[in-house]
Amino acid sequence: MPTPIGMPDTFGAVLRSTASPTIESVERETRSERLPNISDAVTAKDSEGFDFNGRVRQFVEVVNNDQMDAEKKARAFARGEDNDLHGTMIALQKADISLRLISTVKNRLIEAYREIQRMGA
Amino acid sequence: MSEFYTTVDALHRALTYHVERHNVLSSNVANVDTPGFQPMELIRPPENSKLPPIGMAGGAEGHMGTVTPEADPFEAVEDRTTQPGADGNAVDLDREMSKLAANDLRYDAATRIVSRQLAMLRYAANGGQG
Amino acid sequence: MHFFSAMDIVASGLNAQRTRLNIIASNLANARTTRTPEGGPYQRRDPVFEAAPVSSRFRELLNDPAAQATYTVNVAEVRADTGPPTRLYDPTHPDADAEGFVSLPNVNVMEEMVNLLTAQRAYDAGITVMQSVKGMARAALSIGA
Repeated sequence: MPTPIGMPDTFGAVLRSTASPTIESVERETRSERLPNISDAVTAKDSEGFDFNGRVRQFVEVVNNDQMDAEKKARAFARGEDNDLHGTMIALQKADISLRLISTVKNRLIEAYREIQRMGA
Repeated sequence: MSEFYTTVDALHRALTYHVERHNVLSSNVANVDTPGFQPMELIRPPENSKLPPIGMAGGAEGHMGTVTPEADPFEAVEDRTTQPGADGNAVDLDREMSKLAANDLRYDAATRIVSRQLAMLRYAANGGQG
Repeated sequence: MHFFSAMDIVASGLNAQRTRLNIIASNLANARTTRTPEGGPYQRRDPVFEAAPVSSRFRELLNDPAAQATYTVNVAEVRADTGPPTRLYDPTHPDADAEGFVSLPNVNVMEEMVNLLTAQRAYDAGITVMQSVKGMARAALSIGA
């Protein structure tokens, strides 16, 4: 598949077109309008130093932390350290939301990747 | 991603405040006949953007059960609105009970509002479906 | 942050008031008791309430400003009222003295009734608070539902 040089915004355009507020907020957070070439994305930073892979890893870590936090609180509850009711409930909700979020982002990224693959073929 | 939960965290702080205040007010009621007892109140600083999310101060390790001081900025003060009686007790039972009723209601309201907030975030996280 | 310490605080209040009600009942029941094992008429009793700080029982609350302002209540002692007995002129009474006066307990029934109503009111307030704490806990558990 030829490298889609000169089409740095395609990926971003595909993400935006899904019109999901979630994706938009993730994209807003990256604060970059230009994404690297797809084939280079795995290893390289672009000229502005945007590290796509690093960002995704960071995102995964946040989601993982939410899961661990929720599990810790649930286990504490099981042990009888049941002092923080609303904190525990909110942590469980956050873990649920984070998991859904990352699943949705993953699906959208795969969709977008496939879209771009079709274009390049 | 942390800006995702700004409102949820603010509501979380409000919930914590109301629970702690409920303890302080309950203590006033329990001590309605204790000689020399001065009723207490719990006050909170005005909400500002400098407050950290609950439990996140110092890192996301998630210590359970403990509340870091940064996440618990409330202040306990004596409530000197009422006059003490002959035995020095200054607790006005009606006043405390009405404070408790209002506090209960605020806690209840905050749980519902945070639930709505979380439901909206869940909807967004599902990509706008379900 | 600690729902269940609120329950403990309220429970201590209920216990204290119930003890007080028992003492009042004992005072009323013995309002005319002229003979006691200690000798002499019955002396009315009063509970002495004292506040105990919660933080000594929950160590993890030491950083918690609310815990500094929270107290359980307990009956420190049951004090006998050493005030003088009520002297009543009734020569026909089996325990009348040489001048025909009987030493009756220093129980003032009206005062005891007022105390009883106060204790009752405080007890009912405790029940109401306990219900409200339960309601709040249930609200917390429905977060996200």
